[in-house]
Amino acid sequence: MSAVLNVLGAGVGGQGTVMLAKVIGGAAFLAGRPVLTRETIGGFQRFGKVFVEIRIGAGARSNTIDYGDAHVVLGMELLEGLRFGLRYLRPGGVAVVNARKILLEPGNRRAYYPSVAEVRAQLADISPRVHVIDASKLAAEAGNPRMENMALLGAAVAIGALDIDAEVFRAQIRATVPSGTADANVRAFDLGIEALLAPAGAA
Amino acid sequence: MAVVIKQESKDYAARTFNKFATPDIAREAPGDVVFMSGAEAVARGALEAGVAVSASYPGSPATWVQENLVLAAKAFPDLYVEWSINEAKSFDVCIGASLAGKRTFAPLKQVGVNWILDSLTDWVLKQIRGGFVIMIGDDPGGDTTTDEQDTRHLAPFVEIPLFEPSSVQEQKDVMLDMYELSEAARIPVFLRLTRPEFYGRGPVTLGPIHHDIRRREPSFSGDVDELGMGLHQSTPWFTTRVAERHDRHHRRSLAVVRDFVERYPLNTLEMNGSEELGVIVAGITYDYAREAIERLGLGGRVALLKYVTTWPIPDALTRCLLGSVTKVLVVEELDPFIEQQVRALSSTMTSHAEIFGKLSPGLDLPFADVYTPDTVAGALARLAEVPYAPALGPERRARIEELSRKTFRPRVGNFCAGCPEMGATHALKQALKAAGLTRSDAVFVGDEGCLSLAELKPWNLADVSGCMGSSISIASGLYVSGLKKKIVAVIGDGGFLHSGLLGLMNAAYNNVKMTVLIHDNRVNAATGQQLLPSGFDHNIRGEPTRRLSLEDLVRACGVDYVDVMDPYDSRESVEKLGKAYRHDGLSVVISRRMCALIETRHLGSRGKMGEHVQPFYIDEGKCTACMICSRVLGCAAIYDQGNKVPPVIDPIECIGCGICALVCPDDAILQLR
Repeated sequence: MSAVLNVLGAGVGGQGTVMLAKVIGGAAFLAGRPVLTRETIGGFQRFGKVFVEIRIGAGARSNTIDYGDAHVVLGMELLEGLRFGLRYLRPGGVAVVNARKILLEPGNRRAYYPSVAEVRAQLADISPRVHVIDASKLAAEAGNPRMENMALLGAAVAIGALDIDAEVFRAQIRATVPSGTADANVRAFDLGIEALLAPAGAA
Repeated sequence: MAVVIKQESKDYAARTFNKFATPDIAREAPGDVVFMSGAEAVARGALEAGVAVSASYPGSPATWVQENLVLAAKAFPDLYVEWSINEAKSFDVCIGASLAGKRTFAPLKQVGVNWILDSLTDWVLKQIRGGFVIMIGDDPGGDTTTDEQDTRHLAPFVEIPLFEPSSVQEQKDVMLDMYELSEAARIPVFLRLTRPEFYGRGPVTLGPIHHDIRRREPSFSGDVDELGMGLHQSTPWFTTRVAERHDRHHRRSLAVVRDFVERYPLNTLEMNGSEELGVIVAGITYDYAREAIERLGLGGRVALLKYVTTWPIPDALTRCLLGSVTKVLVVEELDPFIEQQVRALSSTMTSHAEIFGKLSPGLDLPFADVYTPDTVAGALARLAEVPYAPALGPERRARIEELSRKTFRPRVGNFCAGCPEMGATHALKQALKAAGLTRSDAVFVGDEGCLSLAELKPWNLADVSGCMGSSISIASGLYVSGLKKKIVAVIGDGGFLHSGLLGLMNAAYNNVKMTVLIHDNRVNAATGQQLLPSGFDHNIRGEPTRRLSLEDLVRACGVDYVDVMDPYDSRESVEKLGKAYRHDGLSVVISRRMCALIETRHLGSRGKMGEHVQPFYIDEGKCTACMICSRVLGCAAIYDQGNKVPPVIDPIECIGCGICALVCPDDAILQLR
């Protein structure tokens, strides 16, 4: 079977996880790679589950990734990074998780929620390549904290998890995001790259 | 209470587009390869096939298809698109345009298809003119719906053909074929896809758009024998004209269909003649089967029969496979719809392969929920007698299960920060006290839409959840049973206009005593803020319309007690609802305030922080940590820091609605200036 790169992105409804899939999928397509994607969204407008699957490479016959088969897991939020990392991350795979916490049920404060340390601990025995970053803070520096998806993407690119040139991503970001927001989104992406290249980039 | 949010947008329709829609959809560039989703491919297919009229009702996954056609209609103004008042009306509008010779399209969500059955069964026995495709968006797994119905069963029930294309390319290409069949057989045709196909993206080579077909001159020649009840006709040997038409449907329309299916090149059999095993698939399971065959290293050893027409199934190809291999595995999600047809066909063969599927004891192929390539690989491995282990081992599975009990409860959704329905839900609960009622004195019946989130903590305000438009009538049923409780029905403006209005008329006519709350947030919010006749003064085509008054509609249903409240004004809302609860009769309160997401998603005010929206903050000096704002109101922008610690309002999430400020007993919540 020819090599396929399986990228799983997961977040909370409203964070821009679908946008992330459009950018990654579109960038792969722009770079001339065979690519299939799938977006799974929930039944409510906000705070529901969202996860996206991107499969890059000629060997992909369907647009879904089986459990335990993701080379890359991008967690837009801490709990979702853990949930999906546990289900999908391949041994030795790369996980890049945003440190942002969106509580499960705002009205139910007694609900248990993991800490950053716990998330690291749980994912550590699947793979040592787990990065937790404050993508929301980076996006805020870029001008809009809502662009945490692009900051996370930048970080993943910097790690080398996605084998596509940063310039291709920048072009796809510009082609995908709402008009007038392209510069800020690209800035967030670039800050994500910088944060991972600098040694003090992790949260 | 001064709330700094823009309320009107005269060009809302002009700016309405779902963030998922693509500008590529109307591109005149046959031969270009575009990366698009299944939903976009279906819409593009409709365009290429020369569809002139598309009528739909919001509901995933149909919403995305229609929104792309709405975009296309901006490029081609002679493409007529509408958000109908409900799916039954979408169907009838399509029939009318078809009778005038136009190609018509009704993209519908799965439970929306349930609404068209009356008209559909009628029209199958008559003769339509312009081709008519009804798109069914099934949802195994039930991510965005209330059941897991396998709508394919409707095809043999109403006796019209069913198509289930596979790849994104096929999802576009079948459209033209279906229209040609529909016009040849003079009956509507079903297109059926499941969620992951609409929401999957892949490369698609565009074809030419048939403007000539779309621009056909409409004409009508009334033929009462074909289109009427046929009362004039004598039917010498049939019991009635109905029976005669049904017989003709079989002899003519279905004969055309069977002939088409036998010749249809998209039904494919990949077989080299040496295989012992065969797999029969359609739609998404085709992809999974290819994945599984590779994973198991069975390339060249498994014949693969892919149906695109799944009712009727292609006879010759199926016989060919059943006669060539020793074992055949039929894989499909939900019901053994294809499997039963294959088994029925095999019963007419003297010898054939052994057939395996859901109906095989011991194979354990599920009847519910989605499948994955892993599901197919597991079943195929057993038949092929090769070892197979899924990538996720038992240890990891056990760990996930253990953690699931603590942490991994699913995220289902929540009211957006500043959602007017959250405000109204809070008021509905607080008003019980104002009316001298306890929570257990009342039964709350909810409907579809964002309002059903009232079921969650901390509101716990949905004892019963009905589907589209049913809450008022279910509530009526609770009342007429004689139950000694305060009955409250809650419904959205979308649900009310869809069909709930008729339920209100029924309740008033039958002297039901209860309170009804109608959430008027101006749009069909849960499906992505689509326009409603009561919300704006224009329709999806940008034409000016008379904005309907919900108060007038309610009164016209025979209700005397009608009130309007602003859910952002918590105190006024509690007062008004308390009064409505105490009314000895049928009381209706309309909770009016525009959906918060319209501001944040469509009107772009969130992009410019601080320009339009002034968030609130908690003054720690005044806050007594009573936790009412975070644990009783429960707004998503208010972060609980723990017991006896002032909560914090997230200035990014907060849209400045001010409900929390009114709810705070210590006046500790203030607005940033």
